[in-house]
Amino acid sequence: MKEKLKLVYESVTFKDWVRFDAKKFSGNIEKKLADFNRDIILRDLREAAVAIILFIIYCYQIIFSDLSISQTVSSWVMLFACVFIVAIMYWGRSIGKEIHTLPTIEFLRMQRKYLVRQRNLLSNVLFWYMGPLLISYLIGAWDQFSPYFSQNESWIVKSGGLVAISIVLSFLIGFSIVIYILNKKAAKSVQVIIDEVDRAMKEFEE
Amino acid sequence: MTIKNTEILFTEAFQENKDKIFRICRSYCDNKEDAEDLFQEVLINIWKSLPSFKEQSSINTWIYRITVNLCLRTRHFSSKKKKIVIHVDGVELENTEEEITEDKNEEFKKLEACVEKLDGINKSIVLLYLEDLSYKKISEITGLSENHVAVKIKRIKNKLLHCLKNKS
Repeated sequence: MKEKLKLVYESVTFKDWVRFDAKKFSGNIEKKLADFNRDIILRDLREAAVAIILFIIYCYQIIFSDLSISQTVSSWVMLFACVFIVAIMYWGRSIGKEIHTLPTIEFLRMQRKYLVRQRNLLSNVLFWYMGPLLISYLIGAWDQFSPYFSQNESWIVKSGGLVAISIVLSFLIGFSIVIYILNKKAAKSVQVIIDEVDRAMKEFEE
Repeated sequence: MTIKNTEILFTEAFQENKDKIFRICRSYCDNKEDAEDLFQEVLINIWKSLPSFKEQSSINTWIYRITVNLCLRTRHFSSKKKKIVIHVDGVELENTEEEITEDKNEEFKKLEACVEKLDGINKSIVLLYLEDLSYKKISEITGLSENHVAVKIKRIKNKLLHCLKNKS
């Protein structure tokens, strides 16, 4: 005999809510999926757009420009940074294919792993994102400003160079602080979701 | 698995479970639009993952697993970031909102309100139970042991009965 709860649940006539036309569906689904995959690729490309543009500019510079040693080093560091940043971003997202087909408890564990990875990336944005870019930029800036400090230059030129360096450094430090604060804030919001998953896992296993 | 086989497998399994899938999705959403988006997401993911279906469990169990996992993720564990949603042709929903308000009897409304109060995990377990799935199947979907499922369902049922009693 069916239990009361099930009888109550089944008492409401909500059968055949969904009309399914198999022919229409299968004739259309692959095209829709292809469009969907294209949208995802475009979104990923948009996110990596800055890195791609920088990569092209610095490649061009290395191949076609007559660069000093420090400029060459700076360009190579920038190329490395572009590839490294995009690779880290993709690594952060990849936690195995089709985890939604796993039993729920396994799914929750994988979901947690993914969220922890995202949180750590946000918290450490200074090291993997800003760091390589700043190193490249500082090497390049040194190349620009070093002539100001040669022995032949007057103290006025030297002080001008110092002021210019201070302005650039202040801007870079300020920019880094803003990026760091924004990412810390984002990491906190991810932590809220991690706590929720933890609670769910605890309730699940109780 | 060939595309033809995938189609046959999908059509049979989906025809059999479409209403149950939608009911579960509906239980996790505040409005019909969100439920439709979630339902479409489940549908797409079932289709996309079918070629990797290993037949270690029944296709129905596997479909419920995807449904429950995506419902939990969408409603509880995902960021507010805007998602890309696709709507496939061939799937139409009746005007469920009208049907819900017109046909619902009092007891069902109370049960729904009590289920709503449960947390995400317990809600998913009790929904599977109310959809008349066996403990064995629920255990395969969730990854918990059958005994554990039985204990949890007993606890949740007591909570629900207590809640219903309070509402009467």
